[in-house]
Amino acid sequence: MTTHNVDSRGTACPGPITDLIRAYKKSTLGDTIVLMANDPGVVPDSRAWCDRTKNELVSSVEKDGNFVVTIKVTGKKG
Amino acid sequence: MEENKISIVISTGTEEKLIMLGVLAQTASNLGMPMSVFVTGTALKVFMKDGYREKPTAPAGFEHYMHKLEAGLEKVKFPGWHSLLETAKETGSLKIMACSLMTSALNLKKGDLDPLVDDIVGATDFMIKSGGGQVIAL
Repeated sequence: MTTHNVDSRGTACPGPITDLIRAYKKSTLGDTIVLMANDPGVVPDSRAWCDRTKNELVSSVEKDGNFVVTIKVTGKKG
Repeated sequence: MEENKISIVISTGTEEKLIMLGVLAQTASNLGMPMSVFVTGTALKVFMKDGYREKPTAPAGFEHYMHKLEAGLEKVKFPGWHSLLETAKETGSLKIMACSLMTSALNLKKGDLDPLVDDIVGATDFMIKSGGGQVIAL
């Protein structure tokens, strides 16, 4: 199981989700993706993407305008 | 991922519409949604060969606002509408069609258009191929 850290701070829609999906393509089932961004759309966009792709949004935390979204890769076949 | 197709008609070539087109194209590509774009009206101007290199037109009455927006987009590293379309074509299923009425009226051939344009088609082709999917007009 690998953790993929994705730093999209300083970019805005659709940058963070594009970065997330790039990391997702490299991931395997059971991996974790930690996406950091400061675009406020990143949380609802990540949630919608997880719902659509059957991945699990583990948590989303905001601190000082930075969002950290943690996603468990559950939408891929093993 | 599901394959819900989406179709977009862009008929105005002002900057804010082109930005939205780029964002929607990249997002459709991210989501694995096939997307087709029908370029018509004044939007065709920026889809002529090298048309995207010209400074985009701000919507009338919003020049100052667009100036501020451009500065902000640079700050958030917005790659530019044309670059988003290029990426969406590389990574997704994006087709760009130019309106045959407009190209005929301006005597334009495919070679006169941006290489991102796949074909020149009429409204019938676009509407039939859009059948059953969402159509968004910009």
